[in-house]
Amino acid sequence: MLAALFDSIPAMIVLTGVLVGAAAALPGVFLVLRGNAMLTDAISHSIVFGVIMVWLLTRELSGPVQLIGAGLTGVLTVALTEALTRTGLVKTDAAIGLVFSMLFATGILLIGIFARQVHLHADTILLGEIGFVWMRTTPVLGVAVPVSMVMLGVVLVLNLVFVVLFWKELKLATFDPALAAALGLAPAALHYTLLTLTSVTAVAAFDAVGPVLFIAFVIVPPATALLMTRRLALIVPLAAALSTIACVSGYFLAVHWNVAIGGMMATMTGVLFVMVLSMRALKRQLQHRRPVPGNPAPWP
Amino acid sequence: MAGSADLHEPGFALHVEDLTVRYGSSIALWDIDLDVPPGRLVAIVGPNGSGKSTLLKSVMGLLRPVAGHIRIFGEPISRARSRVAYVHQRAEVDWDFPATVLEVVTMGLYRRIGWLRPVRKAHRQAALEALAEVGMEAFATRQIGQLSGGQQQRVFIARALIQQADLVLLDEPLAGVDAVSEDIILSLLRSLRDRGKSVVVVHHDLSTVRRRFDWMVLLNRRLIAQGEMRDVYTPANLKAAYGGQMAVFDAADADDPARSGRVGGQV
Ligand SMILES: Nc1ncnc2c1ncn2[C@@H]1O[C@H](COP(=O)(O)OP(=O)(O)OP(=O)(O)O)[C@@H](O)[C@H]1O
Ligand SMILES: [Mg+2]
Repeated sequence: MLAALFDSIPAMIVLTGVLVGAAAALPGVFLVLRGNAMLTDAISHSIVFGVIMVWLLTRELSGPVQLIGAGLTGVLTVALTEALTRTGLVKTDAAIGLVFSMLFATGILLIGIFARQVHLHADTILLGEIGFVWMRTTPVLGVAVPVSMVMLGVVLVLNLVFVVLFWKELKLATFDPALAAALGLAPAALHYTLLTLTSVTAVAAFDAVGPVLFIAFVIVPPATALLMTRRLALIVPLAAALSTIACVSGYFLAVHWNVAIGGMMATMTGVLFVMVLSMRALKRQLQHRRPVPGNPAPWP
Repeated sequence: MAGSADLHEPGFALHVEDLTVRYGSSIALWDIDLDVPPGRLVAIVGPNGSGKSTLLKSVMGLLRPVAGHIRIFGEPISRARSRVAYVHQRAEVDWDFPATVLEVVTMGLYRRIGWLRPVRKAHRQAALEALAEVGMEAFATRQIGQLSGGQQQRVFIARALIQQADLVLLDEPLAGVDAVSEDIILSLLRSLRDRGKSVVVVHHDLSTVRRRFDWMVLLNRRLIAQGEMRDVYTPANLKAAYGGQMAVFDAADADDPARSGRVGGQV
């Protein structure tokens, strides 16, 4: 029965998308709350450089070494950005822009030079090809499972363990890093770990959605979930659920319209966001028209 | 446990020596020497940009000084974290963050709860009691974004109270706060002092500082004066700290806060 599931190409494509969404939502919620969404952008662009460097060194695109090696580029981005900011010559946002565009451009250049030897194309590298993830499989307990899904599964578990174990520390470091530091709860170390996990997740999602679409999965579902609830513990599962809806609907729409599957899935996260946003605006308008006397104003 | 041989100036709640702090190339604090005896209600006063917040952040180890050292009851901050509570300026956090009042107060206990351990019922009970002390228990389940400025400040104070620290540092706890909250906060700070705790408050309002605090530190990048309120609150000292901004202050007004204006204050 399980084997049947992995024999179904559509099921595998959708499941890969769901794994990307769930793995990305975990760090995504904290990054969005911290106002670090653009750092995700920088990280996921920079790992193009990491992926090609690791490929040049090992001639392999996936595997644990590749995951960690390319993932470290994300950390390198953040470290370089902070070093550049500390010189006092440029502001943080300019530093982020400088570092990631430089790494990204170098990565693309290297692909241009070396990619002719292999099956690397700039398009696939940027956007991934979730439609082809089923082509590379590896046996897991006697079942042929796509390599992408195995990597994403491992990263999802890693992210989940980190977020659950350090839940209260992450919450405090995100809301009030000064208090976290005053209490000796190492907010900087937590933040770096979170960013490392984000880049490792980006690498795992590389084949499926590529760095550009990955950003959508990190930022949009958490931002949408934030509009729907004010309970932090609900935001993470809600964001994962939104991603799932986007992946399923995105898959069928892509097949129906014959467009790129990954792109359609990412687009659907945006569509869901706009829907939730308009629903809220509508609700607020209605509440404004009929104010209930004596009741406190609804949030916000 | 550190032996008493390691202690340096343990007789002071706060001891600062030769402290110099800078941001990039601009110097925020220059060669500060400061001693705060325990059991006092201390005001740190100085014009905008005089380094008051920088001083508190340095004490908490949030900034790395260029020179100097700081001791809390004789110990460096790394060993005194559980004895000191810090309330930073309200604007330093995002009040839209999805959290309830109770959750935020409970954060004060995170160090004591410890890494990897979850928040339990007893912790929430303690947070409720701290909220009751600031008159906010009715707001426990409310989102922090739905509070007034004074209520936000009281939540922060409850979060500091729950830490049961011996030294409490507060950065402008009375700025932009309504009269009700101001009374509650002040009486809480006094009762802390009366229980032998040391309370250090950055205060922006010269016209009220005399009545409310019993020890004063005047700052303007350098230390201008420190000591008992009656010794430090003199026209000469205030003029030295505020310089040209002192137009509103007049020696005759010193005893009549109602007539003296707010100097260097943010309302
Ligand atoms: N993060 C920072 N980077 C650069 N300069 C800073 C930073 N924080 C403070 N400063 C500068 O250091 C000086 C002291 O700032 P600080 O915030 O300690 O003053 P303050 O006395 O608390 O002022 P206020 O009454 O406005 O709160 C100011 O000139 C300020 O511009
Ligand atoms: Mg200040």
